[in-house]
Order: sequence, then C-alpha cells, then structure tokens
Amino acid sequence: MSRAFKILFLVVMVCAGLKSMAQTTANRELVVFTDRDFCISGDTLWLKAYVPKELQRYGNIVHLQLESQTGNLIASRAVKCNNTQAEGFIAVPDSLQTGLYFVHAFFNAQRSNGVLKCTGRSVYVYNRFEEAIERLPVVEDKAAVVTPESADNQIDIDLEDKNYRRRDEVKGSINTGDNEFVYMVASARIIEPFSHKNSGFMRFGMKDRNTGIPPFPEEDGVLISGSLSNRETGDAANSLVLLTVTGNETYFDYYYPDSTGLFHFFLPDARGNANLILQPLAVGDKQFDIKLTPNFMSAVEQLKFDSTFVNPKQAEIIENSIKGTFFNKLFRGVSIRSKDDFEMPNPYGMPFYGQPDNHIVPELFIDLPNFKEISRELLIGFQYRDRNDEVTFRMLDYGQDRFFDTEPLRLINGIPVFKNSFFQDLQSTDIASIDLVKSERIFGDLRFKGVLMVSLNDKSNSWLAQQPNVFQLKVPCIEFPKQANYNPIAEGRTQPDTRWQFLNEVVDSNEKWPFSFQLSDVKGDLEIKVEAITKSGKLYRTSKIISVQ
Amino acid sequence: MSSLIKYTGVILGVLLAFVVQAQEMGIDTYELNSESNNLQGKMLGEVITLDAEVNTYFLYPDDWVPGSLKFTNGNVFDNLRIRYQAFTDELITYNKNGRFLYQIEKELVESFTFQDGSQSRKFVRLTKNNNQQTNMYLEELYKGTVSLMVNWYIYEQSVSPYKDKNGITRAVEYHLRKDYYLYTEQDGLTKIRLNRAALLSRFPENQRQIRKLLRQNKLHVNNEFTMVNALRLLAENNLTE
Repeated sequence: MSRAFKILFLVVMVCAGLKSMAQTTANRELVVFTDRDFCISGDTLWLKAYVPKELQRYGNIVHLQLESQTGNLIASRAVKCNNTQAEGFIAVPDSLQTGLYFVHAFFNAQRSNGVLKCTGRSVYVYNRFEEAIERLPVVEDKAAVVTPESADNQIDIDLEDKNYRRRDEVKGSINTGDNEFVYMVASARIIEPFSHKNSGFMRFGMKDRNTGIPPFPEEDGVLISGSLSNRETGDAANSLVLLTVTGNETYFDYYYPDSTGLFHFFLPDARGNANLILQPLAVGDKQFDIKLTPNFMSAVEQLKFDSTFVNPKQAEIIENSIKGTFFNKLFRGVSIRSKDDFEMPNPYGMPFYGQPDNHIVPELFIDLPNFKEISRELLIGFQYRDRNDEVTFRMLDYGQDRFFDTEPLRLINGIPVFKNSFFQDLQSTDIASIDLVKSERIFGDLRFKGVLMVSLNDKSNSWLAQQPNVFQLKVPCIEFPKQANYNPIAEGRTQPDTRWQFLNEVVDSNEKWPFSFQLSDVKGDLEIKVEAITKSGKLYRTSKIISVQ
Repeated sequence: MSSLIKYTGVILGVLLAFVVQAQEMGIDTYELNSESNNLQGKMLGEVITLDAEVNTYFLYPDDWVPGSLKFTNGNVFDNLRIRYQAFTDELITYNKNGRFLYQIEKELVESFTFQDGSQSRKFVRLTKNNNQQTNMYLEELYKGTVSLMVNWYIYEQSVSPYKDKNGITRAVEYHLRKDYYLYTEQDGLTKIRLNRAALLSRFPENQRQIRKLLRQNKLHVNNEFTMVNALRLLAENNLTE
C-alpha cells in the first residue's frame, strides 16, 4: 500500500512539474490576437501581439506573418513593439484562395532557438470572387488548438441595453476587477458561424527555414538579407555589395559576403517602403544576380486538415459577408492605401564620407555647359583629365599637399558611380550641389581617396538604368504605426453600412473600462469578447452574444 | 630561371590588373574580409600617417592599448587598439583588416575608454562654449551632478636650441600637461585649479558649509584624488546647487 502511494505521489509530482514547465514555456511565447475570425481577400487583418518581458532581449521588432496551410508565406510585416505590445496589420492579397490561414509572430533573434513556440491564430479567408463555398478545411490535429479557459468569473461585460437594432449605439463597460491578467483585448464583431466555430488560437512550432539569416536582435531597425550569385554560372559570389537607400537623406552601407554569397544589412530606424539600390562591385565584365531572402519562419510540421461541408445557412452568411465587404469598399474606400512613404534618419548625422571640405552650389554662378567646365571653374582641388577620350578624376590630398594617384569615390545623389562618363554631360543647371572631400576617408573598412558627390536636381535616378550590376528593390521596413478605423462613415443613413467589425482594443484598466460603438446595417449575432493572458501565459476568454435585429 | 621570371611577370600583371580595377572603383577593397561586416554600424574617420615627431611627443599612452568607443548614435565598438593624440586632441585607432591608422570622426564620439596600465580611463567628448564651440576630449575623473574632468594637452615650450636623440636641432620642448574642469549639464565646462579656494569660489553660496564639511572630514584639497572626494562629499550633502 505504502509503495503504491509512493508511486502515485511520484506520478502526481511529475504531472505538476510538466504543467508548470508548460506554463513557463508559454510565458516565453508571443501571443497573437486578430480582430476577426475570417476576412475577405483584399481585406486588412488587424493584429495585436502580446510580448512577454522575457522576450524583450530579442529586440523590439516583431515580425507578423500570414501563412498558408502548406506553410507558404502569404504576407508579412515588421512592427515595432511598445513595451509588452505590438500592433500592426496584414493586407490580405486580393487573389488569395479561399481557405484556412495562420498568423504567427516572431523576433528575428529567436532564430537560434531551434524550434520556436508561438501562440498564433487561425483565420479563414474567403476569396471575394468565390461564388459558392461548399467545403472548407478544418484543423484535424486538435493538439495544436489552444482553447482559452473561461474568464466569466473574472471579467464582466456590461451593456446598457438588452435589445439592439441595426445602427444602434452599443454602450457598455468591461469590469475586470482584481485579476492576474497582464494583457487583455476587447473586440466586437458580427459572428460568421463557420469561422467562429472552427478558428482560434493555435500553438505553433516554428523553425528557421532560411538558415542564412543571422539571429540578429533587431532594435529599432530591420535586417535585410539576400544572396549574390554569378549570373553566368549561378554559383555563389563573394564580391563586395554596396547598399544605398535613397530618401530624404541617403544611407550607405556595405557587406562583404563569404563563400555562400549571403549578405545582410541592418537598416536602423527605417520606416515604410525603402528603395534599395544594391551594387555588387564587379571586376571586369562579370555580371551578378541578387536575390533577397524573405525573413520568415515556417511551421515545423504540417498540420493535418479535414474538409467539412458548409451548411446552407453558413454559406449564405459567408456570401453576405463577401457582398458586405464589396459594398464597404465601394462606399468607404480602402482603409489602408499602399503608400510609398519612407523615413530613415541618417544614423551618423553627417554624410558617410564625413563633412565635405567644399560645398558648391552651381546655381550661384554662371551657367556652365559641361562637367569639364564646372570642374575647371568651380571645383578647386579637383582635376578633370581628358586624355585619349578617357576621362579621369583626381582629388587633392590636403594633408599631403598633392593629388591622390587614384580615382576618388564618385557619387551621384549618394549612389556610387564607377564610370566618369556619367558626369561628362552634366550641366550646372542639372546640379543642385557638389561636395568635395579632400582627404582619405574611411567608412568601416572601406577607404576612399577623396570623394566627389554630385547632387542632381532630378532625384529620380533614371540614369541608374544605364549601369550594369545595379539592382533597385522596394523593401518593406518597419511599419508606420496605424490604427484600424471601425467607425461608420460620416455621410449617415443614405449609404449602406456593411461593417462586420466594431471594436478591437487593449483593455488597459484594471477597473471599469467603458466602450461604445455604432452598429452597422448587418443583422446577426454580435459577439463582444475579451481575450486575456496571465503572466504565466495562460489564455482566458469571456464573451457576450447579442442578437442584432 | 627563365620560368621564374615568367611567373613573376604573370603575378605582377595580375596584381597590376587588380590595382587598376581598384583605381577605377574609387574604393579600396582588397583588404576586406567577413570581419569587415559590422551590422550595428560602421566607423567613420580619416586615414592618417604619423610622423616621427607625433609618434615621439604627442601620443598618449606610450603604446597602443585596448579600448572601446561609443558613438552618439549608440553604436559601440569594442576591441579597438587606440591612442590619444594630445596635441591635436584626436583619437587614433588602427584598422587591422586594412592595416592603416585613422583618426575617428570626433563629432560622432560620445565617449571612449582604454586601459592605461592597471587603470581604466574614460574620456568623453564635450563642447566648450568659447568664442566658437570647440569639441574637446576630456578624461572623466568623477561623474556626478558636478563632474571633474581633465583636459590632457601638449604644452609647447621655447628653449635654447639643442640636439635631440636623432641629432636634429630643436628649439622647443613638448610637455604633457593637464587642465582641470568642473562640468555640469547646465553650466558646461568651468576651468578649476585643484585647491580649496578654487572649489569654494565655484560654490559661493555654500562656502561656509563646504569649509566646515571639508574641515570635519579632514580633507585637504590639493590633488585629483582629494578633489574627487570633496566633490563626492558635496554631492552627498546637497551642496552642489
């Protein structure tokens, strides 16, 4: 009897230990919240991520990603987290097929952790051109599904009225009292029954499939990775890669790849869509190819899926939601416009080649027909040599009181140029300013024997098209902070209002948190819910469902 | 012998081709390796050569010492070999990849530290508000509400002509000297001598209390150590206002 008791005690202790271990693991996971269970292709999916304090050593840039059932990356965003929270959105592609998709989050520095755990969400996407949806996939592997515990006893959702009609204003409060929650999200939406039943939190094991990307902690910036190869042979190449980021202030950097041809750049404080110009430094006529490596993590194991029939009522609601989204877009416009905004302050507060010794503004002088005349008349300490149809430049070395014996670094609008012929036909009316650096400068391990920087009035950089081995790429960096707009349009009742989402906010009060929103013309079951997480990583939820007549 | 000449010719030709290419680029690249990639940020500066006079008289400490550097943008560079050029007030470091010396862009430096024998010295860059704003490197002896800083500089003294150890006739001697400053964020840098009277004159409203405090603690201010102790005492007793 005594022995059986001992074994029972041991088993209980092991179980308790495992449970506490599971909680500790959850404590180190990012948890993703979405504003909806389903979306229509072309919609914007708004996300919030809870960032435990233990993870903040990995930096402050969280990557949010939308992945398909087969583990393909659909879309991703890098957002800056603020203390224990990150917010952002994913624009669901217009052509995305109907199906079940997954939202995850990770820090780049977590790549070195082997299998990375994250509590993400499954979301249904309905293609807006889908005519009749008969079957939809559901997750068969229930072990991956996280069912939050009930928080009915800890969180109270109070509404002022009991019955609501279309366009009514819903007012209420969320009372949380004393609780152990570290993060709470309140949301309200009209329920689409199929996705409401079959989507939710999921625990993902993710792995680094792009082994070349270093586990670099991104602090106020994003890591851009890529690979360089020989265009003829396809083999990896290890020539120096120069990066120029154009914008209000030009950013310059370099990377010397190893034999794998992989290169990485960190863009500090870069927000929006960066216009990158990558230039492998070619010796002779060698041609290169550059391919950027998307920064994402994939599921370790493919989940198993089953296919379920959609009943006629569910199909009708899905059809209505698709139509509603169409009308919403028609009357409200697209909430997120693809803007080319880009901001990146100069991290050095000065040009990468240092403060120029001379700054010349040709506009202040008489118009000169070509660069030869400009250099003769305006550029003191700069030699323009034209011998046997070959143009060479030389810069004065102030310190040594002689001219350097090699070409200076030549830049047009901050972009390195390796052919002097680009300068030949420049007239003084084309040029905004010219900077001359008359000393041997260093940038990291690069050395420049003088610098000639020509800033053109035309910043379009169309001249780049003429250069070989120049790759221009648009790359998304840190997302500008944006907020979802769930409010009705101001025009009033004359236009249909087909919103399905009404609220998605962090409950930041431990007492009474008031909320209000106006319903749309959509009838159905309205769910107001609060999802919460404890310090140990346990998920809770409570909700109130009311019928909108 | 003939084949040796051929091979030498081929190698020289290849090297020349590389040099020619490097010239066309305007960027010296042939000393780069994967250690040249610092994702956190790059060093900016100007390549220099040190002549015999600088090497003999102006550099501190006497040999290259390990140090680290912090830029105003937060970038930190460790494991540097550095020396301070006291005559021009510039920080010099050696780039082992490129095997060249350069002075670091002063405007970007927030502070640097290096090991001087058994002592770790920290220098910070501060701006002196004279007729023109001058950036200076000063050693931080004590950091508090009122900090004690030292400006190391080379004093050039005219002397009777003499022959130095290399047989060169000279009429000047160089001496490493120090000027002491008190620094507050509000008032900036104020020059000070290391004695009690100078300390009292810096805090005219608290002269009596300071005098009493120094007497009680038997503190005779006459060197760096005692001045640091005095400033620490003043801070503890809220007498630095």
